[in-house]
Order: sequence, then structure tokens, then C-alpha cells
Amino acid sequence: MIKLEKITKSYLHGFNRTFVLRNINLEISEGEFVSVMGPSGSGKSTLLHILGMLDEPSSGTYCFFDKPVQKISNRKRTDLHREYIGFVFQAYHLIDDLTVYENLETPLLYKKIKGSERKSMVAEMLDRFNMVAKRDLFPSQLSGGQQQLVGVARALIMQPKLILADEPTGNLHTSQGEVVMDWFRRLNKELGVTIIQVTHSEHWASYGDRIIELEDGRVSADNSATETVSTELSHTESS
Amino acid sequence: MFRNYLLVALRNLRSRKGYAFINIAGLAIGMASFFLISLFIQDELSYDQFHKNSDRIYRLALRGNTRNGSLNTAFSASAWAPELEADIPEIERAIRIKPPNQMWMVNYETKQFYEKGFIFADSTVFEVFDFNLVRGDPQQVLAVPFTVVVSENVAARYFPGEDPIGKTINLDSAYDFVITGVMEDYPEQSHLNADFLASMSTLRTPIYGPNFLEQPLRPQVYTYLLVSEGTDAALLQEKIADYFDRRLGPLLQGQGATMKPLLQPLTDIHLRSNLEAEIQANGSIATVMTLGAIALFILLIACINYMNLATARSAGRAREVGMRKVLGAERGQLIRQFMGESMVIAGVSVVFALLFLMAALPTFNVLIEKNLSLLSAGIFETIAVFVGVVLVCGLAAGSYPAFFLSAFQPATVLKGASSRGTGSNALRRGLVVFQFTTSIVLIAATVVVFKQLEYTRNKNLGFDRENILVVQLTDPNIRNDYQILRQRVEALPSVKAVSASQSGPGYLSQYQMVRRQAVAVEDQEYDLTFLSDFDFVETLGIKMVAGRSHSRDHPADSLGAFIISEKAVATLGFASAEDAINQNVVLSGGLVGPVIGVVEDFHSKSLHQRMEPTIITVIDQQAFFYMFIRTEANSTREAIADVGRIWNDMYPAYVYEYSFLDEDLQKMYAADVQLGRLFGGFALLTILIACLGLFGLASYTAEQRTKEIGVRKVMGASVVGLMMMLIRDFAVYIGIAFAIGAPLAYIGMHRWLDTFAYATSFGIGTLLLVGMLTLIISVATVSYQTFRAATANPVDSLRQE
Repeated sequence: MIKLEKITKSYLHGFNRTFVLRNINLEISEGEFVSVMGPSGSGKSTLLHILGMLDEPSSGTYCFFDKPVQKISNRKRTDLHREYIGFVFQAYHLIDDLTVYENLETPLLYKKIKGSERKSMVAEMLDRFNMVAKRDLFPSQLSGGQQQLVGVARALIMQPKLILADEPTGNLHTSQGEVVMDWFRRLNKELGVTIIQVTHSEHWASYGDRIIELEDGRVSADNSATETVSTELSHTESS
Repeated sequence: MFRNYLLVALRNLRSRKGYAFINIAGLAIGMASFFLISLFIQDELSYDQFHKNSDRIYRLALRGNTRNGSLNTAFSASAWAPELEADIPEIERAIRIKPPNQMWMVNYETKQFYEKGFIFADSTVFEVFDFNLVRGDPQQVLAVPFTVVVSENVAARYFPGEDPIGKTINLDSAYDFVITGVMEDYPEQSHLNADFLASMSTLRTPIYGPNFLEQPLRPQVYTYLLVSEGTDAALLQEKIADYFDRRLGPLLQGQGATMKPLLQPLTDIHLRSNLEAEIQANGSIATVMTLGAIALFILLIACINYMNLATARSAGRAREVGMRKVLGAERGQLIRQFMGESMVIAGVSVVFALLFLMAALPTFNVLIEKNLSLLSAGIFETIAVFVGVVLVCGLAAGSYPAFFLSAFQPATVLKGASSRGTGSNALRRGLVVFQFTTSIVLIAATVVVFKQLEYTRNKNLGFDRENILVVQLTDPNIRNDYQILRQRVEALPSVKAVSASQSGPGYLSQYQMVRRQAVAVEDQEYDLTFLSDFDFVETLGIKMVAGRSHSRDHPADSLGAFIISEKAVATLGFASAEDAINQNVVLSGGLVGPVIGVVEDFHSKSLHQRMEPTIITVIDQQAFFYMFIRTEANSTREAIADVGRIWNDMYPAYVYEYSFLDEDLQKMYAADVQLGRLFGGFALLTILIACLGLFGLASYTAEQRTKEIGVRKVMGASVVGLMMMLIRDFAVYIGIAFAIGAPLAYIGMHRWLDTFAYATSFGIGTLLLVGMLTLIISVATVSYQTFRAATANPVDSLRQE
């Protein structure tokens, strides 16, 4: 599904080039649940943004379903977002002026889905996340955990093949975090949605099947939960 | 989708009430100003458009030279119209009109009114102008002398509930007219106002003398030409010039004068004609254009508020933009969303604008002396303008924020919770500078106009305008008893001096051909003349330079004795004032007599015009129209009452009316006063809108810099220091606006002052004052926000991150 080859991201600061990502090689198959870990500034979020095509790599190739997407037009990128990718953010990023119902409906509007179908899709999602009673509340009237569930539901409503989550539990209490992560696990196992999450914490990372550790822009470890020693480690470290 | 946008827009307004208020108030005021000015302009442009032949009607005016200057008059001579109609085939009809010199007093039984709209016209006037007859046959109504057509309004005033046809009205207690027709009220949007149309042939009778309608040279009527379809006006003017050469050439020979025709399209008269002897004070295309520009600027400034605030608070919206993009929104969809939001704001604003408009219209009407109504341009046009303004404002105000906001990259704005909109600061500053430049120019313009008006009030006119009571002698019966009236008024202890004249400063002017007796007839010149009673110089307080004034002790003075002004000394060709004394001059009527005195030049017209050579002579007739009464300085009240008692005793049938010379003189500046008020009013609105925007911007700046302020406070910055820091930015904007606006105002207002022959001066001092004023207003506007920001507890602002 995802194949990164020699992906580098750097910024020019005056005369110095700062590298955020250095020579990342990575392959992720459909149905995986990947946790990306690492200390602050290690490049986790940048990697996630590149994976989500919100940011462009400075060099290297990125194939999404075998098609190179490292340079891609806005329109194509929008199409890919609509079709395949759902995002969940640490700060939820719900639209403050829209109710829960309307927030869920927004991506469907952009996908030009008809009114009746839209209604049933939103209703199903509200039902699934037990939020029918909260459909007319505004984000500010919900707790953080509830807001993040709306965020997850919104990401899911487009039936994406891939969910990218940037510290989805970072602003939540542990119990709220559990709920969100349980949802991710269920989505992954039951619907086969590929999930890539960025997190600080070992605990949340352990929900994934595979943990990729970043350090200083490089992949320092890539452990499948099943195979504790990665065979790919050697060549991802080859720079 | 649209519903989604609308919801966001409306909820956005509701949840950010201050922001919504500033935007809507600004836009609504801007729109209301725009509508007001549009109504005014529409009205001004509609003058004389209602005639169905308006594009084929021309007024024949006159250009030329006389000995002492150029001749530019709206008048033409009475003999021309019939001759031109017979001579030139393109002229289908040529008609003459003669409005009253001042006004006529019209009587019907016990009803008596002074009428300015009593006009004599040729019987064929109905073929040229659209006077729509309700009663009477246009071929017949003005066929014979002493017939008159009245408007419906007049009919209702004089003959309520009666049939006016066949009734007889009386003019100036002397002439009886039979009413032969009734016409629809003549629209106000015309350069002439006509409540009565009387037959021109009446004027062959003694009213203006037996030859009044056969004058080849004296310009004293107005001539209008209806030309055939497709006539080239320039060519026609040539043909008329040929006629002038043939007809007038021999007559003008030896007079040192030339006359050329000037054809003015009827519809140009109101805004583009500024000749002598205009029927009424015309509008000015310059005023219309200036106001049009002001209207656009105010609207633009209101739109700028929206743009500035929308981009200033982009930080708040950036997240939403990023998220929507991630959810699959295309840029075009986001642009449409933000455009939709500005449309919603514009739509809400227009409702308030309508309310403002309705509230302001009565005051505005008083200001501009018109009767505008919301629908005076027609309901369809009005709605079209409203919808148009909403669309244009929505687009203009929304376009920049829409493109600016929709360009956010999700990766940048979604990173943290506290991402902040940057960039666009330069543009925002530019827009604020633009707003204040406009404000400064308008305020400066207002100040200069009022300064000039102050100047007209205080300028030494060459006579003492104060404490002079003017009583108009409107009726022959009154004029016949003038000498008795004069003697009785003169005897009053509250009165210092009394005189009278056929004309007067600020009122009607008269001209006569004058020459030194020693020179040939060809060298005579056309001079301003006051045919007056004795004591004219003393009563007005005109200063003598040489010789003596008229005196009843010299009985010969009333048979031809002249006082001339210093300018006339020069133009008549005397070596000096002393030299002129006792030399004979000749007036056009053949009146010959010596110069007995010379006076300092004095202003008898508005300061727009240069002083002219002037002749004062005493005539022994009961033909004075204006009585001038100089009162004792502190006895004006008694004088008014005393004169009133005498008047009521002598003329119980006539209403006692008086005015003050100084006030009447100021009426010559009515158009300037109007301009000053308009500038002032709209300057006020402009600065109000600009300050609204500044207030909004200041609050966002303060919000944005909360953390910086907190840190600075922790480091020991004082409240005053912080406020200075925050205000300094805005002060810099005002400084730049001043640097741009001051030269513009300087140039523009000096051009306006150039329309005056005598003008006040203003320099950098006045402009600096305006700049200071603007600075104070704007600093006061931002200081509330900055004070709040500077006094906030740093603990609160720093805890956030």
C-alpha cells in the first residue's frame, strides 16, 4: 500500500540545511496497524504529514498503491484524501461552528454524496459510536474524549483504507484514550482499515502490530509485534 | 453544501458578536452613504431629461466681449428667436422665456403670494417643452396677451375646490390675467421652475416697454431651439453665428463689442452651465463627481474593514480551512464558502443600511435642499442598486480573505493548537493607511471649505455689511410712496441712515454702457451700475476716495451726477481719482453729467467673482426695489419693530418682510455651504468607519500579542511603556496616511479655492492640525484595547502554552 524510498525532508535555515527526515525507507501493507514513536523533534509528525500527502518530501519517492505521489497536484491529492485517507489529530480539529452531526456530514458533502444516503451514513456512524443523543451539540459542549470520538467517526465516515492519527490520545485522560484506541483496534481488525498513529507513549504504541521508532530523522527500530527482531532494520539504517 | 456554508457563516457571526458588529456597522454605514449619494447624483443627472424632445432642445446663450471684459450670459435678445426660426430650416421651433427679475406678487381676491415661478413664454412653448396641459388647448391657451396657464398646485392654492378656468388673477396690483389652462406640476428636476405660464405677447404692453419683444441687442430673455432630428449642433451654431454677423454686425459696429452664439444642450444646463444670468443656481458636475468619488471611497473603506478583520483573525479560521481541506475540500469550494460568508455579511448590512438611509434621508434633504425619496429613481432601479451593492461589496470584501484563507496548507496550520495566521501584514497596513488617507483628505477638505466660508463672512467687502436692514419694495404701490416711507424711517431714533436702489450687493445687478464724454461712442464700456437714492454711499458705508457724495443740497445731482469706483477710474481712462472729478461721463440712456466723487472698490457680487468697475448715480424716480436701512449698532431690534409699525401704517395690505444684508450676502455661498456640509458629514462617516476597523484590528493585535505582552511584563515593562509600544504601530500608519493625504488635500483644495477670486489661504499648519486631530481620534480608538492588553495579568496570558 505504502512504499517510501529514500525520503528526505529538510529546511533551509539561513545557510544551514536542517534535516527533519533522513533517507527513510519504509513499506506498509494494507491491514497493518503501525505506531510511530520517537522523542520530540524526531520527525514523527513530518513523516505522518508526508504519508498523508499534507507535506512534500524534499527528495525520495513515495508510492501510494504503487503510484508515485511525492509530487502531486492539489486536485489529485484532494481526490486521494476523499477516497482513501482519514485523519485524526491530537487537537481534534473539529469545526467549532458546526454540530456533531454537521461535522460528520462535512466530508460527505465534499464527496458530493446525495442527501438521503448522507443521512443514513451519518446516522449509522452516530449509532456506532453511541452519539445519537449528542448529534446536535457543538464541539465545545463535549468532553475531550467525546470530541476525539467525533474526530475518529469523521475520519471513518468516508470509509477510508488508511487512517492517519497524529497523537490521537495526546490530549486525553487515560480512560478516554482507551476508548479511542479500542476503536482503532476494532477498525483495524474488523474492517481491515490500515492505521498509522504517531505517539509518545509506549502504552498507546502497543496497540499497534508494528512499532517504528524514529530518532533524529532516521528509523532507529522497526519491530513487528509478532517478529520482535526486524529483518529490515539493516537496510533502513543503511544511510 | 450551501446550507453548510450558510450555517457556518451565521454561527460565526453569532459567536463573535463584536466582530460581526464592527463589520456590519461599517458596511451598513458605508452602504447607506453610498445610497444617499447615489440618490443625490441620480437626481442631479435627471435634470431636464423628462422632456420627450430633450435631446433636440438647445438653449441659445451668448458669448462675446465688451470694452471691459467678456460677456458670458445665458440671456439672448428677444428679436432673435422668431428670426432664427424663419431663417434656419433645421430650427423647427424657437421660443422665448422670460422669468421674473425677482418675483411677482400675484393676487386673487384675498389670496396673495410672491411668485418666483411666474414665467412669460411664447405660445408655441408647448411644442418644445413638456408642459402637460390638464385643461385647455395648447394651440389656444397663450394665443392672446394677458392669458395665463397655472399648475395644478397653484390652482389648488388659489382656487381650492373651484374651477380656475376663466378666473382673473392680478399681477403686482397692476395687470389682470385670465386663466386659460391648467398644467401638471412641473418637475423640480429642471433648470427653470414654472408655476405660471403667461403669454409672451403680454410683454408688448407697458410691463417691460412697447419694444421689449423686438430688441436685437439687449440680452434679456432666454431662447430655446427645438432642432430637427439629426441636426449637427456645431454646424447649427455656425449658421447662427452667420446670422449674428449679418444681423448684429452693423449694429455692433463702433461699439467695440462682439457677440457669438453658444448652443447649450438642454440637459447640460443644470450641471455644466455656469453663465451669468442663469435662471437659478445650477448644480455642478464637479460636485457630482466629487461626491461620486466619496461614495465609492466610503464603500471601499467599509469593505476594507471586512478584509482587514477577516485576515487579521485568520488564525482562528486557519484550522478550519486546514481541516476542511483534509476532509476533501477543494480550494474552489473554500473560496466559495468564504465569498458566501461575505455575501451574508453584506446582505445583513444592507438591511441596516436601509434603516440608516430612511433615518438619514430627511436630514440629508435639508442639507442638500432637495426632496429625495427612497424610490425617487423608481422601484426597479432602486432594488437593482441594492442588490448590486450587496453583490459588489460581498465580492470586493470577500475576495481577498477568500483567496488568502483558502491558500493555507493543512500541514502548517494543523500542526499545533496555537498556529497563528501570519503574512498579509503589509497589505493590511496598506489598507489601513488607505482608509486614513481618505479620512485625512476629507477632513482637510471640510476644514478648508469652512475656513473659506469664514473668510467670506469676515472679508472686508469695501462697505460695512453689518446692521443693515433690507426691505424689498416689491410692488409699484409701495414704490410710489417710497419718499414718504424713507422720510418717516429716517426720522426714527434707531435708524442711522436710509437709502434705496434698483439693485444691490448680493441681489440683482444692473449694467449700463458708460463712457467719458471726451471719447468716441465706440469706446464705451459696460459697467455695473447702481441707480439709487441719495445716501447710498453713506448708508452702505462705502469709503470715499475723492470728491463728494450725492447730496440733496445739490438738486442737480439727481439729473446726472456720478460716483465711480477706483476700477472705473482706470477703465474709463481717467489719470487719477482727483483727475476724474468734474469730468463728464455719458450713460447709455443719454444721461450726461460730471463725476462728483470716487469711492474705493467694493464687492457687489460673491467672492467667486472679481470686483468690477462700478458707477453709482442718483435717479429721481420711484423705482427702487431695495431699501437699505442702517440701524444704530445696538438698536436693531427696535429698528425692526419701528420700521414695521410705519410699514403697517402705510401699507396695511402688504406683509412686512425684512432681511439683513450680511445674511443675504451669505446666501450667495449656498452651494459652498452645501459642499462644506456634505464634506463634513461624509468625513465624519469615513473616520467613523475607519475607526471601527481600527478598533477591531487593535483588539486582534492585542490578542495576538498577548503572550509577548505577558513576557514583557514579567521582564518588568510598565503599562505606559507597553501601551506606547502598541500604539506606536498605529501612529505610524496615521503618519504615513498623513504623508500621502496632506499633499492630495493641499492640491485639491487649492484648486477649489481657485474658483474664488478672493480666497483664504491655508498651509501646512492647517493640514498638521488635521493630522493631529486624526491621530488623536485614532489613538483614542485603539487605547481601550491596548490598555486592556497592557494591564492584563501576565499569569493568565502565559499559562496558555
